[in-house]
Amino acid sequence: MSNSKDIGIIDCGISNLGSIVQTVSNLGHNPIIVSDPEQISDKSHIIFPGQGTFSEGMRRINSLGWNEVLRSEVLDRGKPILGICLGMQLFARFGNEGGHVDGLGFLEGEVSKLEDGGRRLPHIGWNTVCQSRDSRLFFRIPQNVDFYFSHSFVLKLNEESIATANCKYGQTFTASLEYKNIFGTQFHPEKSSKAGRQLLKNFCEVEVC
Amino acid sequence: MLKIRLIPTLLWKDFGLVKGEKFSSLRRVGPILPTVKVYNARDVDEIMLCDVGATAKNTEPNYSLIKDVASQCCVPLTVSGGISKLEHIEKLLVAGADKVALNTSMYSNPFLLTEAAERFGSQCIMASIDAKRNGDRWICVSDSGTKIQTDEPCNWARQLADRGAGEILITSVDQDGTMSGYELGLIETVCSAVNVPVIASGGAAGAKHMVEVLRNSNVSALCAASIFHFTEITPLEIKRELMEFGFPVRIGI
Repeated sequence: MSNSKDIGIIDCGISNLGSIVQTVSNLGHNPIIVSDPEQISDKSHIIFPGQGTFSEGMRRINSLGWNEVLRSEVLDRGKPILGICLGMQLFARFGNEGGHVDGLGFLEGEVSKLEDGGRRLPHIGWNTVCQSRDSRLFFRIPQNVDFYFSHSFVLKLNEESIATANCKYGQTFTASLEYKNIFGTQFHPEKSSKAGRQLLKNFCEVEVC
Repeated sequence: MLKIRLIPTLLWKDFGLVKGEKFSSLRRVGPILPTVKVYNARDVDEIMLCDVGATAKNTEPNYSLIKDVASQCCVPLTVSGGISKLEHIEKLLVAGADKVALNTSMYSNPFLLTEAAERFGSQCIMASIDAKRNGDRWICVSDSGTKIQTDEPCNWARQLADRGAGEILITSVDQDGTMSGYELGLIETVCSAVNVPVIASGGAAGAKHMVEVLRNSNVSALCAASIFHFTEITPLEIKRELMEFGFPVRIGI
């Protein structure tokens, strides 16, 4: 396909990449798992999936040399990046899971435990995503569609206008965000059936500046 | 609002899918990949896949099978059966599983669950408990229901949640495959013992049984197998009925 893009999927050992690779490939793009930071520069878009704890995630990012590379690709070169779940949370200035830990600091905000109001944690399952403003990620996705969540911590942004959708489980929290070339979802689009597929399609079609 | 999940359970043995009653008299119910495709097309909330022969034969999980299933599955996939080492979990996740469920290995190796939760995150590790009636109470069983353990399901569930399980799957061996309803007392007692999501399994024949268990306990998800193998009822029909009773469900777009 002529508009097929090379999508770099970051592998730092904290996520299941199978479903993302499968979906991106079904969309007609070329998913490339990248475990060596040096290999990311020629990819047009970056997907940064993650599961597990904030502290372990940052430990891996720093020790594998991703911190400097992402900073240059995302902040200097303006390459589109989509953080999924922990991937999105790591964009924050700092996190409070496994102690106070510095994040990548792409966005001002912090990651803290979901104030569930006595509900069961982790927050696992399909929940309504309420779009709060226009976002390229939600092109052709109806309002109030269910996406699949699996987490206990949430990202609290200092600048709430960066959020593009929210979700409610006890508290209302950021379900997705867009700031310049930085995108994030707290839910898992790769596990969210048709709407999730459309969201990944939208991300892969974000124009590169 | 968080939805009640409806999860078809697929039991795999040797070369195909099986289903039995009370964990025995397994009969063949068809090939796996066409079944997964159908569930996917019907937009189920999750799929549970258990290799029922793996522990007894002491074989590792069948990674190539998981890879094939995962490639057809665009909702979360949980895999169980024969998982006794961290390395097995890692290989399953690489093959495309989203979550794994541990059962028998948690009795013999008390550290596996905690190590797995620390390494892969709690949300990815489900603790599966099989229980049988024992007088007016219940007792845990392992090894596909063949070995009686000393633990009581409610205490065991609490321990497993403390050790890092992200979800508890509770299955009644007595109700399994009977299509006579969930073991309500068992499920309620496990639900009240823990604060992680609980998934009820064993005995469902239709929405009526699901409404019973939802009214009686605070479960997060419902498993069913026989309904989908042996009746014409679809997951969507069940969800529509649950919705009529006022329970939140996901109707796909």
